[in-house]
Amino acid sequence: MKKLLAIIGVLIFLVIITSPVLLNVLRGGVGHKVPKPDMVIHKPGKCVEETNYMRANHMDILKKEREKVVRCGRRNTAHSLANCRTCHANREEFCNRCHNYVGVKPECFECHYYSEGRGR
Amino acid sequence: MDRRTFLKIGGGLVLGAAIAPLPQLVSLLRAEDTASGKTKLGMVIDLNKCKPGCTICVDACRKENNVPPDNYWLRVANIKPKFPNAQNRPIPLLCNHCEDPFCVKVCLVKASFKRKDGIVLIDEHRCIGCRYCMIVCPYKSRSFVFKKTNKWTNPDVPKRMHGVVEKCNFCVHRIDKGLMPACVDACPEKAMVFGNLNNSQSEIAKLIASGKTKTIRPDLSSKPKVYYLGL
Repeated sequence: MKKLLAIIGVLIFLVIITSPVLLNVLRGGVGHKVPKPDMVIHKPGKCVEETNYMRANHMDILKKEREKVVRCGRRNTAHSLANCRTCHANREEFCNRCHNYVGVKPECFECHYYSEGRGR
Repeated sequence: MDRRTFLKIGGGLVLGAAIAPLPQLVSLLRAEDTASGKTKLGMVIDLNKCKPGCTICVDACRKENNVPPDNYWLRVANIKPKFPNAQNRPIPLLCNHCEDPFCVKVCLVKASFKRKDGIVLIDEHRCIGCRYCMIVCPYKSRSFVFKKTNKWTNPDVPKRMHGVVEKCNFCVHRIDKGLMPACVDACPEKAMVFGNLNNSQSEIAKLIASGKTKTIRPDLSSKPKVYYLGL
């Protein structure tokens, strides 16, 4: 008798603990509510690196460049934020789409100008 | 496997992991920096050419570097003369980019550092805003960003965020391209001379070699690199 009660108790506990996930699944919202980012590239063509590599590593590229430029003065225009702007001119249409989707707020734009609207 | 073999293999793996980043480190150290140790950048300001009430260099600096109105990188102070009828004399004051800077010694997180070519920079990404450097700077050349700003007067140059310390950086983005700092370019009297002190043929080296230049508070042994003519 006690064993049965214990098992029922554990099952109820599991249901309560996983209730957020279960409710979400029941509502059919796993990944479907938020639309995938739809990016607009101002000047399509070839990026400085491959697309998949950039998708995964652009933050590391920028971070390493930052250290090299600030500490050693070794400037590399290809991997600079200013160079990104030549093809991806609008932050709202390009960068923010993925950043909003993933829920990331890079601090970079507090100091480094990157226009959110069309043109300069 | 006995304990000894296990330790041998483990030790080998740890040693391998420790040596692994070495080739990358070596290439990083060997690579040429734009800022080499052979240059020693400094400035000479001719106070005889400085006109009272003129703020052209200050305004140019503000515009070029997005300096907020509450802060300063370059400022013009007035020396009050001892004689009753003499006029106040203006003196532009900026970061002296000392050879032996107190701010670099004192920075808790090594955000203030001296680049190989002698200019003292603040890595604004690392600055925590403790202001220890501001306390220690004998020339009071640093200012703290108390307020958040939303505008760039020069979008090509980053501004500083709320909570860090900022100061003159000899327009590092300009000198790396081979240009002069904004204040030097803007001065209509050509009162400011910027260059490499180690290059004996440069104008600045000749001015300093003439023996007529003076620095402010040389007794403090920070070895400032901004010299004044007519001080």
